[in-house]
Amino acid sequence: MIRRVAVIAVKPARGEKGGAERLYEGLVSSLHSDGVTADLINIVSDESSFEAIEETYLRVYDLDLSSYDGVISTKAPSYLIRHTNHICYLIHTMRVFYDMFDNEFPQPTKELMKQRELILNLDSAALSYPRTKKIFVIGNEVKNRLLKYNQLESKVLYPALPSDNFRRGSFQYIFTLSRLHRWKRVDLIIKAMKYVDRPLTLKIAGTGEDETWFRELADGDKRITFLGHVSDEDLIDLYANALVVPFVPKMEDFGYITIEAFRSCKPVITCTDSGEPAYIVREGESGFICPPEPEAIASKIEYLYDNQERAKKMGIQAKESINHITWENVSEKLLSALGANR
Amino acid sequence: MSDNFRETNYPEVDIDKIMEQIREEVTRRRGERNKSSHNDEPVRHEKAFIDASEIMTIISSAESIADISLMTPKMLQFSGLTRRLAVFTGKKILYLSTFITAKQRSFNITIIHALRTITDTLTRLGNDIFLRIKNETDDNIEPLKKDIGSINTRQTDMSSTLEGLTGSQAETAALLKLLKNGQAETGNILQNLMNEQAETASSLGSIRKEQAETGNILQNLMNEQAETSSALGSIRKEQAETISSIEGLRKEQHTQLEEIGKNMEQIKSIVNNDDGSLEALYVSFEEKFRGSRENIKERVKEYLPYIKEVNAGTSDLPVLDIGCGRGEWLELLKDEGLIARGVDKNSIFVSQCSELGLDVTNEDIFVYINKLPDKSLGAVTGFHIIEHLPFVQWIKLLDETVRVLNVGGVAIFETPNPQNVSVGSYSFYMDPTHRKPLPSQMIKFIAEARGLSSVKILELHPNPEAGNKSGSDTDKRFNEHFYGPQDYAVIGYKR
Repeated sequence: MIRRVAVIAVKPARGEKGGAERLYEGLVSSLHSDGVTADLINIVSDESSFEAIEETYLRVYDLDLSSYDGVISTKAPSYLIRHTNHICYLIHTMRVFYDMFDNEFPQPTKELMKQRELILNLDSAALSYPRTKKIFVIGNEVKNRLLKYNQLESKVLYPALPSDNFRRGSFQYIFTLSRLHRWKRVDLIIKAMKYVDRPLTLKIAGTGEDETWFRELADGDKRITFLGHVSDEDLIDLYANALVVPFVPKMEDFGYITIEAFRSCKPVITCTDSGEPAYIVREGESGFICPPEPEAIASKIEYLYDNQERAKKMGIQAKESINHITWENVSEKLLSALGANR
Repeated sequence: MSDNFRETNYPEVDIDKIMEQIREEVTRRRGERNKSSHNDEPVRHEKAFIDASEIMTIISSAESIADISLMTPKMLQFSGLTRRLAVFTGKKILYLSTFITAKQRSFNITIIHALRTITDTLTRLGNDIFLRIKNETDDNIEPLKKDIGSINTRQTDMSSTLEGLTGSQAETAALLKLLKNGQAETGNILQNLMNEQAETASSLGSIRKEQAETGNILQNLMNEQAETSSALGSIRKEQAETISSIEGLRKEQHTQLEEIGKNMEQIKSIVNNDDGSLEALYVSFEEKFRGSRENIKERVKEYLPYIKEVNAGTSDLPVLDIGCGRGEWLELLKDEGLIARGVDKNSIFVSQCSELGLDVTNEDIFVYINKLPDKSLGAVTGFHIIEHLPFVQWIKLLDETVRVLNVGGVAIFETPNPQNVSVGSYSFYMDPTHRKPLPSQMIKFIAEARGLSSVKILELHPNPEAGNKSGSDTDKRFNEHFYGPQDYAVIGYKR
């Protein structure tokens, strides 16, 4: 009988609130029902140095959650937990040692190579049966990575939206929301605007470390507005009245933006190398998947402006395509993997 | 980095072993961190033993002068002959003093020896104790150091958390701003609420007052109710008593009724037995007060025209005289050749009439008339009988009269006229069997109401003693009231 479930959340020491934090809220509240109590256990992860990473790994390893009937780990290194009934709903491992390693360290030292090996070994061992009974992942990107680097099989389980007040309004402008980080490639959209020859504006919501760079790139283009941090209500309005939502990150693991845009009946333009959005968007049906080039993105934006009826139809199809993504579905699968009678 | 980067055979990875290595590494690093953090303090060399050298130096210096009076001073302050003389003198004195200081010397040496022994023993003891304490302390210090290590780790974690908190502090500040705005609005709302509350409170106050008053009224009502219920209680008691007494009374009544019944039976038998004597009494009463037979016969002649007018008195439609008495009227009719019958309850009158050859029946008038067929009579008469009947029987007599009269037949009833003051207040009551005087207009009205037509009042028999009929109005009115008609007849027809 599963009565008490612990979800281990990993929070960065320097708090950038992103999709993962919203995922924890939705997950815990959907688990927390029908005779099941779910607690969120927060682990602060300092990734500023390898020593700090080692210590975080050790802290999770030493964490005693034996008073819970089941444990769900999420990000690295929460799956280091030692518990007899442990499953993992993997958001991501430490990508700097995985797919981002080559980007970040073009000429790695021997020591770095050794550190990478250690992390991969630990992750693989901790996520293997029986330490981890089953692995769910938030998307195909994570699934493929896990198979490639850790030789581990997993099941894709899309997380749902924590709140669902999104609505369809008019079709007026280009809107994107993102942490302003180079990995999110907002620069691609800003550059694409140079090729857009239609009376359209671009609204960019979000903050981040690379904001200055993006602003410089916009180069005073009056069609482009940086909105900074926006409230939840404003966000819903911004989605509701957009013509299209370009979302073109590099190898995004999941990206709530796609789901939020679809909920608001908006087509999404994404790129072939954008990761999960390229799995969720269906070419020509709920948006477009184009090469990561400004001209390509611009031509799709112009196409949607010229064919607004098509844009509206795609938006409706987009919404229908994600109807099956609900928190009830997620928590039901997780609890049944923990062995709850449902 | 190639895709087949990982050659490691991870199932052979011993995660617990790796984690223990990490733990050692972390612990070691923490240890170093701890050491380096204390570098600014002077290095302390451990003094494991008690240092007795100072004590020993003191003892040695004491020993050097313990051999008192064995050496003379060098007398270096002097020189030449003086010094030699001083040394000589010193030696002499010393020599002499040795005899005195010998004991002192031996005491000094013994004491110093004793001091040396004590110092040695103390040093040895002290070192033993110190070593033992040191060993124990070392055992205790190790875990403490470990604890400090983990505290440092936590401190590091906390500082990273703090950094995170600093980030969110900005957000919090923005939120706080919003909250403050909200607070101001809330303040206004609160003010309004407080005002409303004040109003509510005052109205509550008056409601409470009313409540209190209502409470008092209620209390009074309750008291009254209590009194009422106690009163009710006593009423019930009384009621019960009354009921029982009523039942008693009923019983008594019943017994009395039975007795009365018995008495009645006796009275009836007496009356029946005395019937003859009473009849005789009334006969003699009539003889005295009604008037002479001739006088009466003369008077009733008045009615003959009414009988003849309707052709009554035939064998088909005879005349019936109710309460015929001595039969003066029947005799007159017989004389006139008219057929008439009489009925009277008084057997003496009936036997007198029979002796005169009149057709008279001795029977109760109602029993008699009840047996007569409808429309079988030409006329019904009754002289001075209706004032003897109760009102209901008088009605009944009228109804029966209307029934038995043939169409066109006449009914004549004579009675004393109370409009004559003397009759109404005096002579009416001469007959003890009279019930009450009957005004003519009342009798006329009832006769019409029960079905007689063309009803008229015939005033009869004014007082022959009436005074002057002419004179003043007052005289006339006086005469009317005191000497007017003493009797009247109501005459009606069946149509």
